[in-house]
Amino acid sequence: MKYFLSWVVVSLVYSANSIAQTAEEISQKYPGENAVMLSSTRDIRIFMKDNLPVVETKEAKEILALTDKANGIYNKYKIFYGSFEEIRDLEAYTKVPDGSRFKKIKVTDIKTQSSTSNSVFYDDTKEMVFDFPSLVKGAVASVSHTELLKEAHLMIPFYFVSYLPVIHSRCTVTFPEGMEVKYIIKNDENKSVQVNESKHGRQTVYEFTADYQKPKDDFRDGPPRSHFEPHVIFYIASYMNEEGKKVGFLANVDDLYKWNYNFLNDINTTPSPVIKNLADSLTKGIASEKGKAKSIYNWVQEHIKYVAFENGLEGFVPRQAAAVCTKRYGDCKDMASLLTALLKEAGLKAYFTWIGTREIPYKYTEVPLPITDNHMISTVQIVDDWIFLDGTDPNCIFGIPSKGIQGKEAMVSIGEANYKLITVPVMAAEKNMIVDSTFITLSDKGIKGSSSVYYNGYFGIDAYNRLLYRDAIETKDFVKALVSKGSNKFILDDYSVNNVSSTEKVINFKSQFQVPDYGKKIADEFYINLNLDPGKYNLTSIIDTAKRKIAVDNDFRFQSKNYTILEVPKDFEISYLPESYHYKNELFSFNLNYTVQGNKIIASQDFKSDCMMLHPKDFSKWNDTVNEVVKQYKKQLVLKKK
Amino acid sequence: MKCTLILNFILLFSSIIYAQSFNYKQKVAWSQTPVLHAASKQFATSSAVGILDDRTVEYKVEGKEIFLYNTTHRIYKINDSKGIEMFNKIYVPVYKGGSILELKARTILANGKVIDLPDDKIKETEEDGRKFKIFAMEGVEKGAEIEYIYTTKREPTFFGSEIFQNGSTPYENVQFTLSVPKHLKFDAKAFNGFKLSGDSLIDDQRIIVGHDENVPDIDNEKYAERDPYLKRVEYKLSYNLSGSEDTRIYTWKEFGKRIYGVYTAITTKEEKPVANLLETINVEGLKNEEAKIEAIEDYIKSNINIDKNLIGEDAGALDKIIKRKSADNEGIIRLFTNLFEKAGINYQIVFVGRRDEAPLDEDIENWNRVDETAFYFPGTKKYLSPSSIEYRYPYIPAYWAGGKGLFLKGTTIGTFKSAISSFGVIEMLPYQNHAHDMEVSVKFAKNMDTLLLHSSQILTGYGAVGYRPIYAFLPKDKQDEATLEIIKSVAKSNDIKNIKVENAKLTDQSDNKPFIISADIKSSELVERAGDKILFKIGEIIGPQEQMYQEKPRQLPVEMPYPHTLKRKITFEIPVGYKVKNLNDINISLEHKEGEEITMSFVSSYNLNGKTLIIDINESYKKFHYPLDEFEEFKKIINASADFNKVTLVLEKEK
Repeated sequence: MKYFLSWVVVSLVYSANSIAQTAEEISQKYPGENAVMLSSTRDIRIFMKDNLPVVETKEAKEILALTDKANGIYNKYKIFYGSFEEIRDLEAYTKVPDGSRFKKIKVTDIKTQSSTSNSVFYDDTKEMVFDFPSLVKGAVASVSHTELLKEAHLMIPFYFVSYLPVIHSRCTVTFPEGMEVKYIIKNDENKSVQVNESKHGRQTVYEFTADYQKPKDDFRDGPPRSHFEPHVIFYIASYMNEEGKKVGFLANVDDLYKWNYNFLNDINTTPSPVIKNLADSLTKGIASEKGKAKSIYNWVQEHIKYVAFENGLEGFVPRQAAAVCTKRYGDCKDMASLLTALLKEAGLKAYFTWIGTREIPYKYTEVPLPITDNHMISTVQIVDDWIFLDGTDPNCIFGIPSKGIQGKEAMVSIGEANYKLITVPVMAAEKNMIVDSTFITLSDKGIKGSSSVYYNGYFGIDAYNRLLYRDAIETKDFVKALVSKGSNKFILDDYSVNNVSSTEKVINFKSQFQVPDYGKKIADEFYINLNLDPGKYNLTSIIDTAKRKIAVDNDFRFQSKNYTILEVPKDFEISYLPESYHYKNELFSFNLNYTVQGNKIIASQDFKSDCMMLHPKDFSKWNDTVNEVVKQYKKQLVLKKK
Repeated sequence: MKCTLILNFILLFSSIIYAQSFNYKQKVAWSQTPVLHAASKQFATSSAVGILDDRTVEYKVEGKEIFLYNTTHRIYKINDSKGIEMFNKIYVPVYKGGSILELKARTILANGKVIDLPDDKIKETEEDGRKFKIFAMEGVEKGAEIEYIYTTKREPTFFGSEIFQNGSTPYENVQFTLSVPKHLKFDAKAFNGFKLSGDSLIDDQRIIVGHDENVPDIDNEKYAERDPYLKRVEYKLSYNLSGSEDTRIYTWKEFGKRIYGVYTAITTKEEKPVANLLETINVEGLKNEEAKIEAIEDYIKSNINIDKNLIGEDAGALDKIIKRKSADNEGIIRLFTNLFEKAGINYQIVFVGRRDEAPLDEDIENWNRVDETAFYFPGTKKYLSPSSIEYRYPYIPAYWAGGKGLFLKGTTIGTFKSAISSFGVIEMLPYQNHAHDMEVSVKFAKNMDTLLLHSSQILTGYGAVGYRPIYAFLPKDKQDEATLEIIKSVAKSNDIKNIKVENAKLTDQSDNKPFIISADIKSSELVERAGDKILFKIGEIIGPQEQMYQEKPRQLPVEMPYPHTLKRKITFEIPVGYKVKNLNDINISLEHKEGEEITMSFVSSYNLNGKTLIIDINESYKKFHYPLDEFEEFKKIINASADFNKVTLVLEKEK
């Protein structure tokens, strides 16, 4: 395989006729597809320069238009890069079939512009964008470029899938003698990735290939692609320096910690009167360590708004606590900086902490790389308790982790050479509970009534957060959406929002309402379904297992209790009361009870989900639950005139 | 439009009460010692209130050149967390070829302390090709005010518009100053109650000022388009007094001539490729002009990548377009005009005033407002949109129709091509063209828990426009998924068979063939039990309906994308041994008339023929615009269909 050595673009050479044949075969394999990626390759060469490893990557793609429709859909192409990357030798063209040959039309105009992201206010990510010309049926669009990575710690994984089906994907890593490169292949249950290791003189080559890869369908409530698409992660464990000594690079978690810790070197090293005064005023008169920590955490949550500037190293280095405090804004690292400084000032054991949110599927112990975390918090140790404080959630309850970091490994920075990996707890379903009591009576036109619903745990936090950004009018809309039941004819009359406990984030919504046309009165009978809100928690939605191949990602475990209390009018009696029902499997449980107390019928429902990431292998547990629930929900109560 | 007048009147009336006249010499300056403003009573519940939005547009002569200076000065009072989030990040637009001369920003804390924004915190970024200076305001808290001012300098454009109202923030004071050298004379026009003075000469500058007070934010409402109703001013240069006082410049007429020249020009290099292309399209043998138009359109839209953001310096050259099979919007318009010319098709270029945006105004010739271009064919009296690839003649994006447009009729004076321009209405295709119809037959399976349905959804005109692109542009598996979703709107099911999709080609739009999706559905979704009674939620067959049961006071008139009708027919075989107890629930009848003509309606009724129940549901919106005073009627019709959606038949065993 001489292309490693010669470093020449490898593009498979086809004649137009053989492409036409290929196109026919591919069309049969992917019927109705307008284009495929013939090849997607990345060739990485790692070499030593100035006594440090340097990464140079050659990336190439070939897109084959299977129909004329491809022209108009797949022309635009973008290459993203940040301040750690330098893009060179970008070349792009389309080979257009011309009789039995190809005619090459080059891309002549390439635009470079900032690339914006929603969560980051300012960063230095740029994109090079261009349009492939003439992507007619049988045409092949090619693009290749070289990328110099200035920070070898930041190598990114290679994905074998793309936005189009990929016929052939290949990634190679070539590195010199004395260097140790490791790799991890993820999400390759079908063993579609072939690995080949070989030696070429003093160079070692790892080659990863996979053929006929099609991306799985994405779903809004699914996890990111890193959780389910096959990819390979590689990293430099160690290298040989000029003196012939082995130097650890990212061999293990210790190395990663060392690299991370570098960014903290100059942070909050000089005492600041701003921090001291604030810490003093926030903890004045509070005796307990927990009380102090809580007061500080709540202040930061309330006063520091999330604004992220990520320019080069800004993306890694927290800002000085005093500056964050005056500016009243910052990103996660900045908030962690302020929290840690204030807590320390108050005499507590507080530590900067790196963590990956649930978006990231890796563990430090398995993937000891910068890609494993994307977030920073502050951890405070009070006696034997480790409390994780996430400044970016304005209403997270002190003492419980923000929902996005549950179950993840936290890298707690104790000192320059000392850190701890601690697993953040996952909150039990009972902690995140909704309790809804709804009283209804029959009216001339349907039903009317009142409800009182309590939100606890993450439900409470979410409600507080959503109310935080709503004015009076929007609050009414929000409450209506929350308490609405029966049908979309639900009319909200009076309502109130009651902050039962602003520290435990328990919130209560009381409402008076009517639902015209709910229930059915015919002659001397009245039919009504006491399951007023069947669509809640998707309880009536079957997962289409033929279509969905990726997990459903729920933010947290939860429990919901619903009591619907119907007052039977004096001149009516119960003619039919649906029977009670109980269902339970390993992940979900559902109880529905109908009881009669005096002139009241109480339908109580209790649904519990002990599942955060519902993997495809467990879809049947969900679907079984839904099938049972749907059957029960179909049963209406019948009242009859006496 | 009657409704506009009513709304204007309301807005005008409310602002008269608070009106103070604005003297441009008393402009709010950037104070060295800023003080907090009293909290607004009127807008107390808003997350943030604009204390001031002052915009100055100044044309200045410097040496032999003229430059345009824009100064914006804004002050906001922050009332809550949402207000902080709204205003702690500021974007300042940097115009192409322009520069920012001055940019100052500060936060005035609730205790009066002032935090100035350091210059080094200002960053530059780009979004959708537009450059911005961005910065985060420091120290922002509840009760604080943020204030910023910036001036940009650039090469002049002699047209402009300033909008002083939006959907999120009310303003106590909005001010506008247009200052031009005295040899230039601008026209300015205010819309929707914004107040404007005539021009006056102060020193050597000609000044026009405008203002308004207590400008509320306008909510986005269902079935409404807000943009035409926002307070705004438009201005443009009309006379250059150093030249001729009598010659009005930058008129629509002039615009028409200029653009017509650009769009119809062809270079010698382009001639041959265009001629060859026309040969390829092969319009010669086609029966009439309409067929030729359709052939040209379909060929271009099926073979050329039309992208208004196409990257390329000379994306407009026709020979390049044909070779590279890619064009930007201007390029594609030129390709169409030249093909029409060569094919001898009589066409006019139309600049579209969209109904969902501030319209093109006949009096104030703001060339910058021109955005979309369509073609009009006097021979057929129909339209074509060159840039919208999912539309086919005579359909253009629905909001392009119904408003006014500027029509350019080509003429030839000797060898010189020119155009006569005039305003006219871009006619909406009649309501009878646009339907969302449905035919469903349904019966119970033997087990009495499951329904067997055969459904056909039949869409025509604009009703089908949203669906056909699925079949034109998506891969087959995604098409199939979409088809299933559409079918499931009738009844949720995992047992759907005999799926048929008819007339899904984009070209089927041209002769308005009905787009039909039909299937056999087995579903238990619509059946519930109440003891020994069976409840059949027959209303849900028509799918979820938009409702307006509980609305806030309406601000805007009704604007729909297009007029349309919905005819649904449900045939239900009542199971043997059962009878329906509540057939009368099916009957709903609501009609709104304008004079003798029914302009909107919802009528559902039934016919029982032995065991066969036939339900006819006819809903119609014959207009796309209903004035504010007809809103209540409109709401009733909309809600009637949502009411039908809840109709449940009770089946009882026959005794």
